[in-house]
Amino acid sequence: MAKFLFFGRLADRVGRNKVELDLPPHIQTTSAVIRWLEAYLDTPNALSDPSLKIMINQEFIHQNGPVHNSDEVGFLPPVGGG
Amino acid sequence: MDIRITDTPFEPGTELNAFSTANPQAGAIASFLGQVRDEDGAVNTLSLEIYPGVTEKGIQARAKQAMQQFRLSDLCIIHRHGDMSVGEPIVLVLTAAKHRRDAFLACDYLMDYLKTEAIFWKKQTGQDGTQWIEPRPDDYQDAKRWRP
Repeated sequence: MAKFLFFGRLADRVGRNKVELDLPPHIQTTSAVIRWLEAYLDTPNALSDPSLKIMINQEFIHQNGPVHNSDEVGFLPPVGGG
Repeated sequence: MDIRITDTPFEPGTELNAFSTANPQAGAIASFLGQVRDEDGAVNTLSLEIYPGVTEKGIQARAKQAMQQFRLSDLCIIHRHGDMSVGEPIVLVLTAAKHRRDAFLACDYLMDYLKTEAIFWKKQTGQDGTQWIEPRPDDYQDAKRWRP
């Protein structure tokens, strides 16, 4: 199962801060995950917002790349400061 | 170096005393304490969210770099997350150095990092409801001062 985490105002927008799902076999990249997850959550464009940063297994990724069924994928809106 | 990201309240005076006692060789200890402002009665609760593991790792890395850059002999950062009330301590930065300038600068530098880059999301609840808070333009200007 892949774990998807939503932080800050994004969690309000998607209505939860976490969801764990099995990735269908054809969903193998971050861009495919974003489209698939937006449809699953019924939140069009919520995850393709360019201000979001994405972490896979707690490391920032800066371009489209592979996602595996065991991964933790974090969607981070701009930080608010401490 | 002591970095604590915690949802438990802390007592700044106790922490400062312990830090100065542990660093008798330091000629200078600087401190910064940030606490929850009431914004003229508009704020009841401030809530900080972290990405567990990631927030700590980022602060650890920047703290380690600051130790070298400002020739600190010791450093302590305590940062709250979770819900806090007006007047409660949010963050305490303590820096120990041979001389005061490095201690002051390191404190200032680390606070600019914590205010603009560290992984926190901040929500304020008060008489106008709940709002997500982002850094002010001045915070980004302050952070730019440290760029080469």
